[in-house]
Amino acid sequence: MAALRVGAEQAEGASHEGAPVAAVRFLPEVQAVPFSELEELAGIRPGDGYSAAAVRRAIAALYRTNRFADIAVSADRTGNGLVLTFQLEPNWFIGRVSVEGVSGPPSEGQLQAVTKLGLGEELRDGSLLQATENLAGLLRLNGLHDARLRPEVTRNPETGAAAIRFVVEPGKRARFTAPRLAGNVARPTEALIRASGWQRLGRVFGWRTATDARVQAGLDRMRRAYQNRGYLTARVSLDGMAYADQRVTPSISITEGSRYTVRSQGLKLSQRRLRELIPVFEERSVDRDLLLEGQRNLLSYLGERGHFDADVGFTNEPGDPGEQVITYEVAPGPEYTLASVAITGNRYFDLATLHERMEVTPASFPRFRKGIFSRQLLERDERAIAALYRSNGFLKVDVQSQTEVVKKGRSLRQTVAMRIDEGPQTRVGAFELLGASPENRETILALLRLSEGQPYSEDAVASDRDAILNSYFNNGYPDARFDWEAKAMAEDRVALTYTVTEGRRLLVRAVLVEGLVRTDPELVRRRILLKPGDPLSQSKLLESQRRLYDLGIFARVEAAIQNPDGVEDSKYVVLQVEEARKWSLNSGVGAEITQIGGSFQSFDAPAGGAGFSPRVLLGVSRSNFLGQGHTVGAQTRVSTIQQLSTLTYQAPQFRDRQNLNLTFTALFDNSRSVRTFNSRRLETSAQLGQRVSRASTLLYRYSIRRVSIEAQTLKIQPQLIPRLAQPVRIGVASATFIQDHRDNPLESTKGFYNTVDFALAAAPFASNSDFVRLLGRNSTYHRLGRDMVLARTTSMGYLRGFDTRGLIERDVPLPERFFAGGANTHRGFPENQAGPRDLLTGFPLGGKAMFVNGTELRFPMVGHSVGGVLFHDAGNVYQELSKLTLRARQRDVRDFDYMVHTVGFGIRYRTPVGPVRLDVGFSPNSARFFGFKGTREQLLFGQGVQTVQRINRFQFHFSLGQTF
Amino acid sequence: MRTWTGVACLAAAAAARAELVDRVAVSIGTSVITESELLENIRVTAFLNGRRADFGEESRRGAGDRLIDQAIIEREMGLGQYPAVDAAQVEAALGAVRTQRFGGADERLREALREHGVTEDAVRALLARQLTMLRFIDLRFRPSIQVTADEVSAYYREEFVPRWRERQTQLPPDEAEVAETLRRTLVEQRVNQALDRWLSQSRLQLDIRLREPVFRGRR
Repeated sequence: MAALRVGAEQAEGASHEGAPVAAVRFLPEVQAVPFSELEELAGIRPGDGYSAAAVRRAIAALYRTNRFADIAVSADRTGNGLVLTFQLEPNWFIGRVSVEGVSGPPSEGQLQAVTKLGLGEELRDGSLLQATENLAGLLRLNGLHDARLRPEVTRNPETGAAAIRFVVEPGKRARFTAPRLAGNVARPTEALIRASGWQRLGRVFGWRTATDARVQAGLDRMRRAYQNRGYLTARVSLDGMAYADQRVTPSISITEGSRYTVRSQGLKLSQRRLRELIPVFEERSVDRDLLLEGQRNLLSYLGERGHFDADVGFTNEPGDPGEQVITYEVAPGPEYTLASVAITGNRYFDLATLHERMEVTPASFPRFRKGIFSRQLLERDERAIAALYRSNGFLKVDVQSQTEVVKKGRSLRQTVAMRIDEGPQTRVGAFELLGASPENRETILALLRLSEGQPYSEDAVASDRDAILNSYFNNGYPDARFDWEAKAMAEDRVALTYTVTEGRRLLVRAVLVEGLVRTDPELVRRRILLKPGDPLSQSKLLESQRRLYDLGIFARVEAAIQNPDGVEDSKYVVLQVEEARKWSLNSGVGAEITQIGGSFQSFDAPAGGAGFSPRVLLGVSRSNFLGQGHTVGAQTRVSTIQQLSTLTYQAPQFRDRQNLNLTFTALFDNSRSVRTFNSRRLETSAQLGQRVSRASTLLYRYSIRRVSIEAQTLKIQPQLIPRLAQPVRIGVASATFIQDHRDNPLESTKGFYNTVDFALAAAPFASNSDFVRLLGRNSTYHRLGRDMVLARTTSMGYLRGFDTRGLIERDVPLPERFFAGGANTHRGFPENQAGPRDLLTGFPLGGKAMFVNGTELRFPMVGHSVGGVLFHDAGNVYQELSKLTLRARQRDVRDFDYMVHTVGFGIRYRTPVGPVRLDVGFSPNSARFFGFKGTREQLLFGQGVQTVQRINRFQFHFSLGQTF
Repeated sequence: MRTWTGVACLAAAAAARAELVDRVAVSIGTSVITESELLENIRVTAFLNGRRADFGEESRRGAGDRLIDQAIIEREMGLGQYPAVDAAQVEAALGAVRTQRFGGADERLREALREHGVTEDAVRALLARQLTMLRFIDLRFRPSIQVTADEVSAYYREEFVPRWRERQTQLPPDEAEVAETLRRTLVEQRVNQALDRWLSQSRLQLDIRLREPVFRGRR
């Protein structure tokens, strides 16, 4: 611009007024906005007469896009007319921000966040300087005082994006030294330093390196040192960190404050209970809000015990010198039982619907022995029911309640009578939608809850407003506005008018993806739902972000609109991804309590006994294999009853189909889960999962495995060992259909769950044992009343071995047979102990048919966390399908083909990962069988003693999750 | 590469011959005041004030300030429901200029416009902006200004009388005689103070950038 010749100052361009424009040029040649769009914005075309006002308008229009930091227009008179040149100095917009060279802490996410360089926003003068200062501050907080920072900016004129890379030379991390303590310290300095945790193993290994997390944790621990002694308002604050010679010295101000004591008057409460109810101890702070919360907790505590009229007040006053006493004055009042809640006057809603919205609950055993009641709760319920009516057009609804107390014997029984006067229902008499363009009108109308004849309410209007605005926002109208008006018409009718102001529509200019290093860009591109020219839809942008996260290969996916403040018809959409670490390791230790026992030699306890098995887990996985989003993993699990190693290759979203996933698995399993034998399994499998619908899934699988049984571990008749101990190769093709219509898989209260699995093992699949297997399960869940659930499940299995021509029935290898019994199948048996047994040793042999039916009545017991279950399990594993019977009596000790019944009781404790459960079952017809007393040698030589044994009629099971 | 070098050479050659016709002088967010607007404001203001136009740095900064204030007010008016000034009011204001400055003679008016290098439409536009600004001030600030009798009395004692005595030898008029005039003066003062405060706050909240070369008259 400095090269431009000086024009006539007093009337720039005036001499050109009306002269023909021969050409319009824009410099520089490379622009983030296409020239056609620049021409459109400028509005000056070759052939037009020159006008200073038009040039002024052009500058304003171009500047409004916020694409340009400066604009100057020059005119060059040529033989054909004026050549107008728009010299455009571009603005730059923040693209990828990366910080390199720092080995955390701070983490990369913290480093990026502290720069405050927002993706897509304009890169302003001073932004980089501020970001560099912020980064240096964060590094100092983390002990990196000598860090050097250098920002590097790479600008792309074709997109306007500026990628910013901060290169950091972090230097050496400083270590703590003894802090300087000031103020009312009152505790020994040594004790506070010890509490801070800034020294390694006391003083033995010197001071730790300083990080922000350690500083904050240290201060917090010092504060707790006071608070744990009752100094709840103690203040421990950091004044500064002096740095010298690779050492930082924290300066800390301490105010001990008063020692707090909490007590109750009028009701004897233990200190433990007070600590539970009054949150000042948990929050380690004292303020009016916490004291009020304590008051509410006490009222609720008393209410649960029937003291519906309880009154609680509190004082916070000085006691002895340096002491502050919080006293809760409690007047518990009489003890009531809420006998009934009666609702009358309701016509539009039934009682069940109304009761669902109420918190006031009459007494019921065992969950709410006194019922739930308070005046505030009753008023809340009245408001909730009135709101329900109003949202359905009953604008004049009136809900009133009366309570009555009746003395019955020595107890006071309270009743609630709620009377509802519904009043007339107001409906929409006339409806009009204004302002929607013809192309959007039908879409909008289809979304609306209100239309002519519908019950009218402001809630429904609010719901329509949200639906309309969401629809517009998701179709590229970010400035859409909504107004409405309801005018009273004749009797109980309103004329409703919605007025929409659509505003400008934004389109996608292009989608820019930043941050890909190892990932195939095509993999990402295929998951982005927005394409150039599409309406700029927020929902599609979020969905694209979600789909990228679903790949499981990105630690972070950030989405933004470039140049959000600029007035442009088309916008760049920027997606910045941060690839997750390639390798991840996982390890763990655990234990299971299950039926374990015996040894290779021992034939004791064929029906099993409770045992304990420690377990170690170790795994490694490599994500984003070949940049395709695939994962390769290896897992090992070693316990006293199982050694399992697995190699997996997972291809989620196979062939870019959201609903397909492909998995290859290879595993080695050395298992003693069935007590009859130890099996060794080598298996490879390929599985294609297809999600057919939201609730239905199909799995197609091919597996080939070689299963061998350690002959010396087989606890069966010696003459059967040579046949059953043969290693066998099984090639099996199978398909599973899963249909899940449960409301909550962890804690189902309604719906159903079905699975059908069909498997065929045959020579064409490289199997040297041929059989078909069909296994099905159907579970249903039914709500009984408000809180109880009746759940039932039926599982059936059928297994048939055959020769290659399918003519002669053959035996099925031992490990492929059905084994059942245990916490998740039939609770009358220990794990895998149902069905046929060896007639000599009594160990289970598995069967070729299975039928198990379970029924549970699930009900709440104490509050919302503890529930109970009454259950009945019936069924067994049978030798053959033809031997499946409902007969409940065992004919003799060699008869296992009968139905074992178990009734029992269980307790469920609700946790975030599902209920923890304990079930105790009693089986009156548990199986009796011949067991063997002796050693393996005695068995081989026909010695030893056969004794009649029986599966314990009482079984207990402890596990996680509902049974089904 | 060769093509780009060629284009750059052509552009440089064209730029060397080209005359700068307009450029951004001030930006307020994404809206702009161009240099030509700034210079036109100087010319029209000079015309209305009956002076010669001064295009020096100080004059440019003054014009810039006026235009920034106008832009802030127009922005605020765009957000609220303020009535626009109608054409008849603008014509009446132009008529007043014609009468007061040029004795109602169109020819003298046109001559003066030619001398200042401005058009009648530009004068109309500036008058419209000034009237709009006055209306905005009236609607936005005046209703909230309250002046009490005590404040008028205090102003009479502490400001009016001392100043009267500095300039006049006669006794000052009674308070009751000038109370209404003093009340109006106080209202005007406070309206101006409120406007200044509001403009200062608005300037802090907006991203206002001045292109210094324009104000220094550099190319």
